[in-house]
Order: sequence, then C-alpha cells, then structure tokens
Amino acid sequence: MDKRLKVLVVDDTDLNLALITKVVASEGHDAITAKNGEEAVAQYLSEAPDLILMDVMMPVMDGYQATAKIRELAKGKWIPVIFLSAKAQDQDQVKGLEVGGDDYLTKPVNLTLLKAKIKSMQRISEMQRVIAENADQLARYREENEREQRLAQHLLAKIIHNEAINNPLIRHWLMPAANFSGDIIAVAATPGDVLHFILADGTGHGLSAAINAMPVTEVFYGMSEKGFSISSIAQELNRKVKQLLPTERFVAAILVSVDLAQRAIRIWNGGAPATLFVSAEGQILHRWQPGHPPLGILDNDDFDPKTEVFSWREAGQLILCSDGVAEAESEAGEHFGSERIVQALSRTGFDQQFEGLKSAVIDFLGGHAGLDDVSLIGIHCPMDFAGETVMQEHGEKDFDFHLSPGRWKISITLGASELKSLDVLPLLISWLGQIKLTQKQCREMYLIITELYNNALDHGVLGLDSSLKSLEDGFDRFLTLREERLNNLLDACVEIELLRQRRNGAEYLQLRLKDSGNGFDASPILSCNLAVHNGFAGRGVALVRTLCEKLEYLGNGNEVVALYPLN
Amino acid sequence: MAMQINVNVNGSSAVISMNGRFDFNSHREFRSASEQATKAEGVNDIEVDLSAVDYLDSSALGMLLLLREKANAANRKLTLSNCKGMVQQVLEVANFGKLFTIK
Repeated sequence: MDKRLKVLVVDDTDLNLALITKVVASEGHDAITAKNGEEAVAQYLSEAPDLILMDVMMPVMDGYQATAKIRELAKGKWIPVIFLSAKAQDQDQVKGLEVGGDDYLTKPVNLTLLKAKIKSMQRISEMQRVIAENADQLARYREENEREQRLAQHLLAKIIHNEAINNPLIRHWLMPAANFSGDIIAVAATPGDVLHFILADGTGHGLSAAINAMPVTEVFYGMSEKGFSISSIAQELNRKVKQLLPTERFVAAILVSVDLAQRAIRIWNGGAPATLFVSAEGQILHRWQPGHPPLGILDNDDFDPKTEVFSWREAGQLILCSDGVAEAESEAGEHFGSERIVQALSRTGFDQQFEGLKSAVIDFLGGHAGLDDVSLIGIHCPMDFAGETVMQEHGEKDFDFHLSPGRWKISITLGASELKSLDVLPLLISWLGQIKLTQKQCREMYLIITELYNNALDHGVLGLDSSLKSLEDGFDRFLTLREERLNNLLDACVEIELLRQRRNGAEYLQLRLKDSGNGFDASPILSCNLAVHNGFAGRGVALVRTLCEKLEYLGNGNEVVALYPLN
Repeated sequence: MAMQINVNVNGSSAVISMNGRFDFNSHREFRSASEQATKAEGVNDIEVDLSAVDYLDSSALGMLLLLREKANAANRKLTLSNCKGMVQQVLEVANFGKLFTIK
C-alpha cells in the first residue's frame, strides 16, 4: 500500500483551501494548511510535509518567493511542490518551474488531474527517498571502509616491522598498491643461524588481506625461532590458513631458508612467481618454479611440504618477487612480465641488479601505484661467509646459573619411522628454550645438536659419504641419495641424551649421540684446521669442536660425546 | 566493463562460459552461475570455458575453488577448459593443475 502523505495546502481563499483539502483527504492523505507564503515556510519548518500544493498570488509572501525560500531551507533534500494558479500564461508556468516548482496546474483545478499528479509525485518522492537512503548508507560504508583500511595498514605495519630485515645481506623494497593489498615480507633467523624468509600475498584487499597475513607471520616467526625447518613451517601454515579462512581465500607464499655456512638455499613455493638466483654478472644460475598450490587450499594429508634445494658454487643474489612485479600494468595496459625481470637483472653488480629491477618497474608503471602491491627481496649469498652470527643480538638476558643448579637428564631413542617423519631438532631445541640458556648458548647448543645429529643420521645411519658434496652437482646428488635411503630405511636408531652436570665446580651440558650405523674414523675431522678447511666434509664437526670444551668419538665412531661449558 | 557470463545446460553437462576480465567484480554473476550449474537436474559434468577470458586475478581463483567445493559436494566432475595466454600462466603459477582437471 502507498504511504500516507502529509500534504501542505497553501491558498489565501478559504473556499479553495477547503476544496483541495477535501481532495487530499479523499486520496487517503493528511492535509495541513497555510494562508500565505510566510505561513507556508513556517509550516514547512515545523511539520516537514511530504508534498506542497502552492497557490501563486497571495498576500504577505507569494508562492514563488515561498517556494524559493523552502528550496533554500531544504538544503539538498527534495520536497515536491505543485503550483496551483489562476495565472495561465506560459511565462507564469516557466517562472514557477524556475523558482523550484515541480509541476504547474492552472485554476480552476481539474480535480482528476490533481489526483493523478499527487499519485505521480508520491512515486517520485518514494524513489527519491530510497536513493537518498542508499547514498547515505553508501557514504557510511565508505567511511567505514576507509577506517578499516587504516586499521589494516596499522596492523600490517606492526606485524612486519622486524629488525632482522636490517641485515646488510638483505635488500628489500615494497611499493603498496593504490588499493592496499597487504603483501608481507618477514625475515627471521633460526637458533642455528639459518636465515628464513617469507614473502606472502593473500587474496583480497584492505582489512581482509591483513587478516590473511596475521596467522602467517605469527607462525613463521614462532617456528623459525624454535628452529623448525621451512617444510614444517609450510605444513603448519597451510593447516592454519585452511582452518581460519573460508574456501575462496588462500595465501600465495614463498618460504626460503638460506644457510650461509652450508651455502644452501631451500625454497617452498606455493603459487608465487619463480625465484631466481643471479650471479654477480647478471646470469640466471638457478630458477625455482612454483611447485605447489598456495597455502590454505589442500587438506593436510594432501599437502606436499617438499622443498627444492640449491647450493651455490659462486656468489650470487637470490631474487624474490611478488606477483605484483610481473603483473605491473603500464598505462597502455601491458604487463611487465617475467622477460623484463630477467632483462633488468642482467647487469653486473648486486646493487645494480636490484636497483635496476626496481627502477624498471617504477618507470614501467609511469609514476602510478600498481593495482597490486609490488614486493622485491634480494639476498646476497657470498662464498666467504665467516660463519659468525648472522643477526645482531637484541636484549640478551644474562642468567646466573649458580642460583638454580638443577640436575637433569633427558634421553630419547628414535627408530626408523621417527627418523623419517619427525622434525627432531626443534623438539630438543624447545627443551633448551625451557631451561633458561642465554640466546648465545641456545644458538651454540642448537648448532652442536644439529651438526652431530645430522652426522649421525647422514653418515652413521644412512652411510652417506660427504666427500660427494664437494663434487660438481654433488650437493644435489647427496640430497637425492639421502632422501632415497631415508625412505627405504627399515631398521635403525639414534639415541640422544642430554645431561646437565657439574664438573670441578663448573656447569656443563653434555650431549651424547649414538647411532646404529657402522661408525667411521673421526680422527681426520677432529684434527683438521677449521680456518683452512674448504670442503663440506667435517666442516660442521670442526666448528662444533671450537664451541665445546671436549668432543670425543667413542666405539667405532658411532658414538659421540660433546661437553659444552655453561659458565 | 563487467564480465558476461552464461550457463548452458545440455543433457548431463553444464558449460559456464564468460568473457573479459574475471576478477572480484564478477563475484555475484559467477556465484549465481555456479549455483545454476551445480543445482541443475541430471548434470554430471561441469565445464568452465575460459577461452574468452583475458584476465584472471586471485579472487577469481578463489571463486573457482568455491565452485570446486560445490561440485565435489554435488558429486559432479569439474573441468577448466580452453585456458590460454595470461589465464594459463596464472593457473600454472598457482599450480591449479594439481586441484582441477584442465584441458
């Protein structure tokens, strides 16, 4: 049913007022009256009518003036006005419409026509009301949206602000899109001084992009700190993103670990563009294609955490790009594309390559912001890395060990299936995290456990020969062989024992590892000099020796004891 | 310009075809096309014909994932067909070949 209108009838003759009022009432509306223009304005202000039927010639203030005044007071809100006048000339009608009337009927008024006009104004007025309401709602949504965008930017800035990115080996650049979309770059170091990177690009824009990003960074930092591998981190990220976000949302991501001491890069790429390893002369030495769907799509059982490994034999720069780089669109609607990326990188010098690519993208966009965020990371991978700590230390807590001289021992024995499937080291490291070692001690113990455990597994249990690693392509062959033997492993075990003890008034952590392998002759490794040692073989063990007060191989070389001083 | 989208049900197969930019602006149209294709009586195969699509963004990939979920629930086979140029590249980068039958 049509809405009941409040109609203001303005006329200086009582007879006309009575007649029109009756017509209005017969149409089911309410009439209020005014006897001149001034009264009409007052009624308009106090009664807010839906429609005005306005006489023209009246004392005090005429209909034209009153209409002009009402239009002025209405400030953009539309109120229909129909003139009813004895003035029947064309120019009278024109004037009526010019001062703001919506229609003009001449007197004597044809009542049928008046009823039809009221109906028509009612329809227009209803449409106007809906449009005004929508516009108002739209303005409120817009404001709300802008508030959310600001919140999203604030959140993301907090999340990705991280000191690790100030590492001198890392170059990075992020150009936010016009429509903020929330690429994330995060860097972390494991306790074993392996650098972890993530470049993540979630679906959506604004707040929803920030919501995608939050669980990702939290998991990434937390697990890296505990020493989990990027495979394990990718698996957990996938689980978490899948659990938190709806089906149509996912996060394309590249996870990278750079082990400067081993000169090895591992990459898990889920739906992000190819990653490149570029020589100092600008040659592409390796390319990692996206090997997996983005995070948050596959069920955990179907998820493949496999990484692709590359070990560098000459210094180079690892270049990670978000899809905003290749998809950057010029004013002519062309895409930047992967060809131009390779071309921009084909110059000598790591700075020149990085800056070259950056300015090529900026020039291509012609000074505009892209449709998507543009993110770029360059990681310098040198041949002569000193093996010292990668990260600067922040707020190290000194802990007085003598005050709580707890004695404890933990031991764990891993069978074939655990050796295959468990990410063992983080479990041990998380234990170390509980016993209040300093950051430095934690890192060194991590290194010791990692090296000795990997030795026990690779050389002891799997019987791999690490001299393989120094051959051309040897590292890749080594890893392939390792995976193959690990998969076929049936019967094997590694015992790990960690013991807190006091000797001659000093505090120690003692690590004992025993594997089921055939053992090996450790004497060449133990006697070799770290400074002149070039190959991979034994490098780790030699490093461990420098950190321990004592490192001893027992039996036929399948048991090792390391004594790490805590004072 | 908004994308044009059509659903053509022919016996046991339904073909969703569209043209232009397949991005977040197409959300509503694509959703109703998906409903139509997954609810039509007697349909076993759903094909998304991408031959006339020249751009695909990550929201479009999300919409395809939603359709995949609905098709699975309705026990209908889903195929993406005629992917060329940029569309093919985007699907390759996202490794959608591991999630969809693409022909």
